[in-house]
Amino acid sequence: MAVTDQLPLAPGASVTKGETLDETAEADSRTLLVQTAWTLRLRTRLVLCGLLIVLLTAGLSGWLGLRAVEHRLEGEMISASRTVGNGLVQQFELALEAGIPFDRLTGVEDFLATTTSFDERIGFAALLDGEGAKVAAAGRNNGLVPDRLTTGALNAEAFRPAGHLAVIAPISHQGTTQGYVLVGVGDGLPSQTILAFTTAAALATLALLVLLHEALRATLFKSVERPAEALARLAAALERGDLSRTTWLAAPGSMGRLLLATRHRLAGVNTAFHAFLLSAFAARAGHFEPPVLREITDVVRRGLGPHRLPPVAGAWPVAVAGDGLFRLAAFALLLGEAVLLPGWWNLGALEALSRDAATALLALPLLLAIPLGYNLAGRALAGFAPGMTFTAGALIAAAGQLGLALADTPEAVAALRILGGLGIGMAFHPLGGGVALTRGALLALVAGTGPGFLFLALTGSPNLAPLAALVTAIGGLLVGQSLPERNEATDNASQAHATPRSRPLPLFSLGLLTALLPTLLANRAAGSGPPDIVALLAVVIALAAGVLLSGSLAPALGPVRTRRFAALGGGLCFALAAFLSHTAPSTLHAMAVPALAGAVLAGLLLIAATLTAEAGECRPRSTQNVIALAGGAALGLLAISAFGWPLLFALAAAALLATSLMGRR
Amino acid sequence: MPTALALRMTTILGSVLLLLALLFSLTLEAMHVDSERDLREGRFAYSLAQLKQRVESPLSLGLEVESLDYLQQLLEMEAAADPEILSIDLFDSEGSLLFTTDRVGIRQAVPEGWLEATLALPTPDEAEQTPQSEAIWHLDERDGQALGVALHNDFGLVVGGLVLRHSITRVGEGYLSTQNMALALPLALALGGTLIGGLLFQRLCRPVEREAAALAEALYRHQTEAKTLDSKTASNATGSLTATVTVLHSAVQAAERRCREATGEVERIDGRN
Repeated sequence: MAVTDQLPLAPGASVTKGETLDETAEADSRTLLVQTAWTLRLRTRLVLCGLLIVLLTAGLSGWLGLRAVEHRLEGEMISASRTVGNGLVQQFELALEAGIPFDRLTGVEDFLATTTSFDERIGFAALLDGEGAKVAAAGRNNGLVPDRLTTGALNAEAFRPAGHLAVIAPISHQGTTQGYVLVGVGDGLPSQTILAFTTAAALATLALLVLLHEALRATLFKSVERPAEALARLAAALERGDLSRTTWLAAPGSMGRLLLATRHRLAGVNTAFHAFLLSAFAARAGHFEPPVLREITDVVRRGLGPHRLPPVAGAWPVAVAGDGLFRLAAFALLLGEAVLLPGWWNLGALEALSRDAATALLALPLLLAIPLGYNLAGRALAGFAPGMTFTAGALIAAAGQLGLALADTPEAVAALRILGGLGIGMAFHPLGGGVALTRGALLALVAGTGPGFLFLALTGSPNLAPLAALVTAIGGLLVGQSLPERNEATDNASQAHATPRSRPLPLFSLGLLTALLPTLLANRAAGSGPPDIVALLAVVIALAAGVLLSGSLAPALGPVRTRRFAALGGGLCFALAAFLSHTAPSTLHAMAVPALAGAVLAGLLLIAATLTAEAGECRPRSTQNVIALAGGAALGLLAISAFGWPLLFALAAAALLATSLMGRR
Repeated sequence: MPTALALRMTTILGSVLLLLALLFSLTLEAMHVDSERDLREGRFAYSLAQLKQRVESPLSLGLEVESLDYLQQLLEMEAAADPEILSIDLFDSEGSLLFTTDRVGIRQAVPEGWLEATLALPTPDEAEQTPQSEAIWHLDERDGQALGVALHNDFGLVVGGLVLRHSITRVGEGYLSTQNMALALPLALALGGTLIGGLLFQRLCRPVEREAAALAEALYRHQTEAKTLDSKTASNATGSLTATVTVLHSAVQAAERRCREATGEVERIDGRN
């Protein structure tokens, strides 16, 4: 009985004779989707349920919380009303003491209007006579004062017309109450305050909804979806007679027990087959009579005919997708960076820098170090389990973020950002590339920025970097444990090599760098920001772009001879540009630099293209690209304050020397 | 008993709701403190304006501020009327302290900042065209906040200043108090949300967990025929899981059967020989 016999096939999912391999694979994939569709339905229901609960709780908390705040402010409102009321009472009592009778008081409305204009929260001020009848009232809400207050209302501590709270203050003269003063203070929060709260609450809720969505999704992926996929794949393999498959997935709960039971059964059948083979051949210790042997061989052939057995040592695991966990990992890893983002421009060490320069100093070293960390993890941590590599990287990234709270110079910030980038790159290594990572990163941006901004507003910038470090470290530790082992993720090498590994990180870095370059150059042309940092960063960017693009540009340059010539020309161009920028008069300096930077970029592109084209194989070449890129960034940034523009000159000389040597070879 | 999956989902939901409660309560607390400070400042600004009026009135008669001894009593009365007022100080245009309610203070002159802020205030002519709030300066102090006004004579010249220092509530001071409903309410709602979420998760996860547990049990006991796997344990929600496991076991059973048969044949051959 085939699985597909029991399940409704997806539209168009039929298998016919003569299908190509791709079509079969597509059909298998569709079948798998149908088999595991129930997990998607379950996920949708659970996630929707969770999101709705958070949304409702947020709405209720916000509404009730605002009412609670208003309630807590009542005491202060009563004090305000009493203070202003008593001030008015004193003035009226002074007038009475001066011999003016209460009913002859004039200009009262103007006097009250002056008081109500003192503060916009005062809605009205009124003078009542001894019977509680209104004599005069002023203020934008004076219509709320009734024509007569009852005796009961006069004896109460406060009067509460719509949206206001007013203390009743008696005016006494010669031992008798001549009248009352009523000052109404608005009892609600100002609309601006409510708007600010609503915005903050919406930001926090959005962030938490994303956080919940990702966490629930990942939990379900690990507990239900992956086990279901593994079971479906195992069923398909067994249906084909392939007994060499098993699964090493571990899942919590009943699905985990089901996996264990399945593994147990599979081990049982494999043991039975191996025992059968042993009894058929090995146990005879070579005492075979040829006819018997022939007969037994026939039996074994018939018995094993449709089956593929595993080696004695064990079985191969079926491949299951790891996208859901990788997405969570990317999300958890970058959440701390997103939390830190609103505080970028509040770091003490960068106060002296312009906004652009601070942005460049925080973003570029990080982005440039990520590819290096990625490659470093592939080599230095080759034997580490994926989860351990991820955790190690995340902890290094957290250390980089934590150090930002203590950094007191731009150079220290740059160094810490490089450290952070290395950590993030290392943590990304076990995840590979793909759309899931990009989605995780984008969602982290949504989920982290809002709370980061709120935290910054509520507690100040010094606490943000430690918070970001804490988030990154916790994310790294928690998610690192749940990352799949290598043998869980892929069952054989063919699958790993079937799809070429994308290189999203360097491309991502390049995209961002390209976007930032014009800003940096414009900033430089405007003469704002510390020149050395910005100029050198521009050069580093040029270097990075040149090295990254060289892989594709090199072949386009034609024969080796042409490339060498181009490199020599580029080196000369670079040297000239650097020399001119170093010696240009100060007035022209700022204007010339963008153009010179462009020339530098062109020269570097050519040099890099030639160098990498000569390097030979594609794989080491791309690694060298990445190392050169990050190394150039690191060295450049660390040497900023020490060397400034002369460093360019030195680089130009080195480049000229290198290309000259190459040209002679 | 909640299922393991439901329990984990509930823990996640509870953590998120707890975060939500903390973020909301912190924001509400900050909003409360801001509003309270605004209200308090408005109240003290009014008191200060009243005092300024009372001090400036005698100046138009040509009297010197120093000679108005009753001002000490007036300031003390004002300060005593409100426990949140820390002190009220009156100083001349040089910054020398003339009257103060701060009995513990040993100062002879007011801080430089007060004098500078007072001198920077608009003159009476300018003040007519500016909002009243700009006729008062505010400075944060270590133990509270100071509000100040300038005292002018009839010629519009600054003859001194009046400063009222008052205590303030800082963000977080009353955060953990038992009366802080802004904290208690979101926490209570978060708890309620977690409980409701737990029940819903439990309801949604139970069929899956139950079915998976039954299937695992069946696998262990080698009861893989339709009567076990297609019975009550198979819910509509996860029918595919049962189908998948059924196929898996059918294949395993077929292999086992084939293995048994082959073993029997080999034994038969051995017995015959």
